[in-house]
Amino acid sequence: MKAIRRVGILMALAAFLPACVERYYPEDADLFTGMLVVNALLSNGSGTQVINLSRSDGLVFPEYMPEPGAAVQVENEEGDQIGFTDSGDGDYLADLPEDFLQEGGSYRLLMITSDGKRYESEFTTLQPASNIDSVYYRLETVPGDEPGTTLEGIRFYLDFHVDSGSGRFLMWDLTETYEFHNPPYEGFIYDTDRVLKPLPDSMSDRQCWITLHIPEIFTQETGNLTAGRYSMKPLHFVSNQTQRLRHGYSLLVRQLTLDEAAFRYWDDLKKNVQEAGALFDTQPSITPGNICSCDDPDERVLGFFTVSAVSEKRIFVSDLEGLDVPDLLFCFPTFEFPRLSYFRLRDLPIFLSRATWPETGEIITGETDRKCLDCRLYRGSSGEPPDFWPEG
Amino acid sequence: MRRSKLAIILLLFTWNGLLSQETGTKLSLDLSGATIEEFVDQFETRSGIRLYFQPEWFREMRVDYVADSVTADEAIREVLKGTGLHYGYISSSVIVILPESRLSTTLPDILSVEARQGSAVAGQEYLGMNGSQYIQGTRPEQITRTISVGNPSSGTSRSVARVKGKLIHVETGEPVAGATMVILESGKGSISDQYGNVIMALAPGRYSAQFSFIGMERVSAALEVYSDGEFQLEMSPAVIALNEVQILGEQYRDISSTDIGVERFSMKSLKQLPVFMGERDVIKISRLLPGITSAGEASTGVNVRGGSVDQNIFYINRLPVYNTSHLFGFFSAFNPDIIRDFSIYKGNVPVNYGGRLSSVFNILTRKGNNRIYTAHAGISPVSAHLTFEGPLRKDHSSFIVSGRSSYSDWILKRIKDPEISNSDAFFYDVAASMNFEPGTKNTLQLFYYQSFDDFKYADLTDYEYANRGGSLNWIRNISPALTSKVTATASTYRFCNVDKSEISKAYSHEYLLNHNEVLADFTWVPAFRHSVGFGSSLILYRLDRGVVEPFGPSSIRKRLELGFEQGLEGSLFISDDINLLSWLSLYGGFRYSSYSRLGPETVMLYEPGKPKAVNTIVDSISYGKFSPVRFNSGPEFRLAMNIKSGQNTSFKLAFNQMRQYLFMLSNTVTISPTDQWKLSDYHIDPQTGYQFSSGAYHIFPDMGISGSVELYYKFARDIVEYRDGADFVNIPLTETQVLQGLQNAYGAELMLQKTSGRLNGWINYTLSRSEMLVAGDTEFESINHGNPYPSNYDRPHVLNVVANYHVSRRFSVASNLVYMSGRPVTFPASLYYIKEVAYIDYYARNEFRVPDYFRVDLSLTIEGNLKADKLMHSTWSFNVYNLLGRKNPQSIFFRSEDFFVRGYAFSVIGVPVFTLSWNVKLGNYESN
Repeated sequence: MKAIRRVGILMALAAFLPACVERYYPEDADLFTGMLVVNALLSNGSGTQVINLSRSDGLVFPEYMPEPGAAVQVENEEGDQIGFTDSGDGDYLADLPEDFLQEGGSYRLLMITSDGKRYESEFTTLQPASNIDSVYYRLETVPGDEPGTTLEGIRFYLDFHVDSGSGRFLMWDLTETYEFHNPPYEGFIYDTDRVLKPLPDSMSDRQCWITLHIPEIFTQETGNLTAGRYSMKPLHFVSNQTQRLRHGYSLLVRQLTLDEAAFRYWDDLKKNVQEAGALFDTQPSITPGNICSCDDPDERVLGFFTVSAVSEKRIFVSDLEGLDVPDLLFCFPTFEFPRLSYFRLRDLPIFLSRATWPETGEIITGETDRKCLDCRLYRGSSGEPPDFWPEG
Repeated sequence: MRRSKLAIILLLFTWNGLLSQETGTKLSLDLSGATIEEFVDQFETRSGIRLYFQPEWFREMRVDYVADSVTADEAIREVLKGTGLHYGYISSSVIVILPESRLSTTLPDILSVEARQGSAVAGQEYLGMNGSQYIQGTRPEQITRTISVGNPSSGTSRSVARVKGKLIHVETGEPVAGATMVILESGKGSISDQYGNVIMALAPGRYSAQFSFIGMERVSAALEVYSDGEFQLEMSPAVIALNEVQILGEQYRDISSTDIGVERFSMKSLKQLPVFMGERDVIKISRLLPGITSAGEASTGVNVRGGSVDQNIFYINRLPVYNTSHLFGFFSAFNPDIIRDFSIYKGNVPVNYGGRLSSVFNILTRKGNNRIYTAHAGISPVSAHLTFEGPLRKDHSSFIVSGRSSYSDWILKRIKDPEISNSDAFFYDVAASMNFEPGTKNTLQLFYYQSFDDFKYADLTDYEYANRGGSLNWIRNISPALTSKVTATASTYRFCNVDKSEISKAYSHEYLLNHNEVLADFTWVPAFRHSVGFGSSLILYRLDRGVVEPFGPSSIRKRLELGFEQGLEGSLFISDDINLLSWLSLYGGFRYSSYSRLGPETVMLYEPGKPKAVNTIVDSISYGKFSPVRFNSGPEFRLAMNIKSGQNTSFKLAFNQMRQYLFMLSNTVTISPTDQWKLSDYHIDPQTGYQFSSGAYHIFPDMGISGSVELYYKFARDIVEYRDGADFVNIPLTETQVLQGLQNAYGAELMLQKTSGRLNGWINYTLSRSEMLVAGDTEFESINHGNPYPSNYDRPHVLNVVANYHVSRRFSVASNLVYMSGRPVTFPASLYYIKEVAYIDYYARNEFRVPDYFRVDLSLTIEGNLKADKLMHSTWSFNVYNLLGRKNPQSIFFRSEDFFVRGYAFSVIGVPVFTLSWNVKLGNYESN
């Protein structure tokens, strides 16, 4: 973890010297917006495969800009092609035949965008899979965002085996699922009929399961390692300052085996966004992908087409010993709000909740975010537990 | 003062007129800084002649007179020169000194020796400087010296006499290097070398010579040249007085020499400048000079005229030091206590230096005091230092030992964060030297240097690095015209890095570089206004790039040998410095340097026309021990010309060519302490550089201001740049990680300096650019898509103001002001999303800049009292670094956080840093 080391030195010197890190707001640095972005990571597991197409945006107020209406195909060396269908929001889906992605096979991506431009990727080879031994966690204290503060929580670790048969270039893709509870406040709705009504049950849910992709890339090259057990590959850290560790937490670790080009791409990307910012900074990498335009060789296409063997491991965390997960007060209603009649019609409906301020016992009714009454509205949230969620 | 009282006897003399009663007796005198009494003593014992005079006439006068076989007449004439006094013989054994040129001869009687003695009045001695209770604030008004060189009786058989002088410090006996000797009649001058030697070829005759150096009293002397010969002159330190402090530079040198792009300092002259955390630092000070910049506070080394950090070599007493920083570049690894002066060659580099494209930093240490034992010590919030020196044998040999160590850990221990309080930072450096002068013809200097740094961050990383080395310098005056200097050095740089951040891939890596060098350098003055230098050097480099070893029982890291490298660099050089016409001087230098990469080594061969990568290896060649792997050689021309236009103005032109056979492997924007040095090899070509420079220099003598404008254009080939994501710890095949390209730099440097008066200092402004181009056959072999891009250290505008104001002799205020354009940085070109994570697309390298750098520092220096008779003298310095607390970003970086990319500015020092430091030395204010 070079990042840890680098940040480490930074922190130590920050303590030793009056160093300082501040937010920096760039001015009109967006130069190459509107470039085609391809996220195509196909894995040899079963299920629906997703290829996502979008356009790049500027830095200052970025938005996700999906690319609709493209024809997307994946081709193997024999010339067999499988088409992906546009399912909206830039996602193109296909169910690959079971024997299509094979170890040692080479594949490429072919695309025609709605403006008629043709794109294709280089051939990429599916590497042999290697297995995860175990995923586990340790209690840890890490430096907080503010100098001198700390955060308590758990860090996940991974053990895997390095041997001559396994792939040399590993990447881990993490997905977390946790049970989430909204506070037990009474909910109301004030809709266009301008009558304050209790919130109907269909619009309210207090217990949810949130599944999110961990926005961190973890990579490891094994070329410089001998055969044996690689222990304690550090993965992400979960602090006790959210609900994640309170009602149950599950982590799915997918170990991807990449070819060298794909590994370099993801590893450089990781360095660019996760490890920047230290005393001895490296130049950010220019990360060319493996997709090019057939019509204009100078056109830059972002993203990478990767096929990968996958092995998975899931771990469930509950009832942590030695770590206190505080019950944080959140979603408390706004203390003061104007008369309901002040709200313009177009701002309705608004949602309100009634809560008791814990210190004084004062009962407060105020405007609240709709998510605070219906947890299903959080990103990645569902009102039903996933299949793998333990009973009870 | 038995013979000094003439008041009552003058009238009794019979004046014999200004008869030259040359007795024919020849005598030798050897006086330097002598009081008149000492002169009289020596004169009387050696000549047998009695002198009569009134001591008040000689108040504070010092005599410097070294002569072989002169007549008494000549001696006395010289000593009286400039005093307005006259002399006459009363008898062949009695000389009377008088203020008038003529004396009444009517007075009848001659006083006997006894009477004269009897007339001495006790208690009427004058208080000389040494006798006064307080150190005087003014310098002696008139110092009269005469230097006779050669044997008068040899006449003018030759048209040219080779005059060789040795300039030494009056208190410590150490040589004064970099001082100028100027013959006022011709304006021609010479500069003393590091051993204090000045050499000039002069037609026999009488000259007025002036000797000067920063921080030293200027000495004016009459120079009588008869034939080849030597002389010694003692220079005394300038009293840091109200009316004069010289800070930097020597005006005459700028005007008279062919030097171009040269900076010189005396450490003493810089002692009032504001410093960072109480540590005086030659490298930090050099960054206040035109054309010398750095990436920021925490960066190792300097960038000179748009060159990279590894294009500079740092010598301390000719010992090369490969890592010049402590604590990641916050401090330099040279203890200022032991430094006498240093020079930076950034334009035309003398032919006896080579091996780096940008510059040579030549640091010289003090010689130990060869008269008395003395010590200095000091303490700042970061470190404490101590220096001890003294004679081994009085006037002949001396030693000096100095050490400095940090004790800064306690700061870390006070931090609540467990990881930081488990961190350690520590450094020290020691230096010692011994000087021997067996006889007048030989000088020997033995020097040892060591520095060490250790940094442990929690349980994650340990860094340790050290320099160690020694040098032996032997100077021999073969004849007055020919001097040889032979230097042998052995220098080692090593570092060790233990990375424990992940137990399974934890590793330790130890790196070692050896530089062993022998250098012979001769100076020959064959004729009038003509000096020839020649010599040869041989360097053996041995680099053990080390083994990456698994660390700890859980590590499954593969043991990886990065390789052993060996190379031999040889050079032959000759130069000719000639003053052709009164207004024209030329310097022509030629250096031929060669480099052999030596085995044992196995070289990989790659598919021709393909990028070098592991998958394009087609073959390999093995070379045996010491068998040549690759041979490179080439000429280096160093040419310079000085055209004088009047006494105060000159114009210079120069061309300089350099070759460099080793470079630094660094994939970071600034140099980190674990970057490895690497030799040119089978695949990686040596770097070559060319520089054209010109300059105009003018002195405004009435104002004490000198100004200069220098222009340069530099071009370098085969500069080593790094592929994106280059890795030097996991991949031993460096050629797969580096690319070579071109570097272009040009600039204009304006400098105005005032070296005298209560207010002194300098202002310089530099306008410059530095650009790289790495355009290979494919995108993979190019950087920035084969387009030119600004180098990481390109700073178009730099303004430095250094001002020093002496409120009184004990109290001074100084301030630095630094403005620089921000350093180039690569900004995101756009942002995109993959799985709802924001990623950054980088495209154009170094197209943007971090915000401009601006900093003001302030220092107050309070000297202890000026009592002459005291045990020790102390100085308090109060420093504020970054007075305005401006947050000057060293870097701008972007991180992906949730759905956004956030930009951050990292400034190393974002607040004013106040420090108080205390220095103490034995002796009084003036002691060295």
